[in-house]
Amino acid sequence: MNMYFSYALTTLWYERQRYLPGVLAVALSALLIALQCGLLLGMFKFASITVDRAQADIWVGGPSVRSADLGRPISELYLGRLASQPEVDYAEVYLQERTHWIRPDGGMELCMIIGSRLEKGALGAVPELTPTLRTRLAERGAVVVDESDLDHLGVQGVGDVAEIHGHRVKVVGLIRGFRGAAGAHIFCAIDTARTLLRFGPDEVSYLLARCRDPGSAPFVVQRFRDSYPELSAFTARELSLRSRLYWLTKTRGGMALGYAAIVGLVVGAIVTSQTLYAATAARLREYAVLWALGIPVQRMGGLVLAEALWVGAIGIVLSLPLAFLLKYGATLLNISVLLPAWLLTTTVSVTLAMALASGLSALRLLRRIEPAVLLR
Amino acid sequence: MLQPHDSGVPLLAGRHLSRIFGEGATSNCAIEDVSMEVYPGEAFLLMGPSGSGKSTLLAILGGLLRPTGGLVTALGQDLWAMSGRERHRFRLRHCGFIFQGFNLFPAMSARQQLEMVLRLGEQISAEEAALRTNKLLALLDLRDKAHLRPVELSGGEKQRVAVARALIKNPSLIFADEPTASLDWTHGSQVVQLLCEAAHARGACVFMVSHDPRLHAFAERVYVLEDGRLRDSEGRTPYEVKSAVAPLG
Repeated sequence: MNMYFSYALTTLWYERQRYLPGVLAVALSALLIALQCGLLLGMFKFASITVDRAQADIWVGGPSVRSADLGRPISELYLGRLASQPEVDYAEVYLQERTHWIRPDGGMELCMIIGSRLEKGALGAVPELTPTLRTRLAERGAVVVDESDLDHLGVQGVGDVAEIHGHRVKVVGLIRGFRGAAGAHIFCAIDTARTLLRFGPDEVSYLLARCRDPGSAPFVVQRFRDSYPELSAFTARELSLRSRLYWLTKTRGGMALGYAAIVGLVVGAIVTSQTLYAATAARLREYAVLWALGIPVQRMGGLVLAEALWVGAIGIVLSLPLAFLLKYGATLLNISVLLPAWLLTTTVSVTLAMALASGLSALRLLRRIEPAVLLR
Repeated sequence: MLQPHDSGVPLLAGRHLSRIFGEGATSNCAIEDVSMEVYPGEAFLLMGPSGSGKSTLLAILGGLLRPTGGLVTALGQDLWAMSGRERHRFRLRHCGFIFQGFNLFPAMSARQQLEMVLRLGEQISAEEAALRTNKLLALLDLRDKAHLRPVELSGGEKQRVAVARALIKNPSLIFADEPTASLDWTHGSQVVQLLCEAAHARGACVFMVSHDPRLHAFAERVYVLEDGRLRDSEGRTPYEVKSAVAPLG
């Protein structure tokens, strides 16, 4: 195996100008895949940010929850049943639903009300809600917003007031990192949320639970699903992924970016396969001599495939630092691009597979070697 | 020209070979009823004008091109009765080829050109491949050039590397198509001499195709292919020559 990669690398380096288009095509494909998907993840992290930033291991909501921000009210009576699970250490209620924010100028904006318990150790309250902010939120109608959403909400800062469903709300604090793509996040206490969302006295959006051993959460979730089919139960990780995948696949924005990533991959595959095809064609007489000498076609094919994998590997090595550089640039523009390890691994795998497929297409030439090539 | 071999079993023999290209009105008979033999240690030189079918005959005898009719016996085996895979394996074990234009991989050094054949073909270890390569490169006076790529070699050196590549597997049958083309006479004669000496030393046979009449001196048998038929300088077929050397009855 080393022999193939060694000969292939020698050839690639010697004829680097010939292979450069293929390497650049692979690099561009990998970059596009990583950045497009990273943009998607960054854009749609709003769908799961409250789940990701909360401290709960288990989320229980209404039937067929497709995304954390699309829950339906359930009865608070289920709280006792959740809390009584032997693995559960603590459980609490949580409210989250979309509604409309009426700006001081009369305009209307979509927003997401997030009502949670606020005492120390509360599961639903995000860590960015400092003790000072939580104290202020105890006031009825008090809300905390992300400072990057002030413009959308039509307010200037702390102390400004607006209206939700005829109820006056007052901004008592600002946080960062919760800018929403489909409406501002509005943090408040449970009671305030219940009023703003017009929930009944025993209605909630979710029940949250913490397990003594977080590893036991999947078992509790399964047991709850089996016992209460009228509800949806998830581990935090499941609900987070479910929410992001929903927005990724079901909305036009996600599909558009996903389509662009696929187009980048296809273009990369075409350029890479043409590069490898041309490189193989340029050496067809040499391959024909090896064929005449009885070298098995499969082993000559091994050389071509090793070249393809090197082209893929070098392209990936060029693309990844560039991806992080562009991610940093995006951050400066307040654009979130997420590049988790699993995305990078997937990008590398898909790109290498594309390079390998390109190499396989170049093998067609070897299968058609004829001695006439040598006898001219 | 050396005297023809007059005893023993031929390493390579063709019987009533013919090859027709195309069909119907556009068909072209490249060779017709060609029979010949090559014995161990012999060099067979095939000459003839361009388009006479020399390279076609070489390809048929070397297992690269199927004849339309006739029989090729190589090392006692019917070459064209084998399956494609068997013939490919036969060439791997027993045949070396030198074609016009060197056809060396531009990125590989002289050493790598040879090692590649051994490692890809016989799948021998890197150490043994290096050993055999060094020995042959020394024999062909290429030891100092072993690390050089084709672009750094002269025409004669490139052809010697191509010869070395053909010989590295210790083949019993060596086929050379215009081995001196694009070489001056000094280098060309060196190459052919090396080829023939290597063949003699190993008991292999060499089948050469060339326009160059100066190669007569190196070959035991010299034949001309004209209008698809094989004749020596006296107009005799190889069978007639053999009968004259060892009369029947």
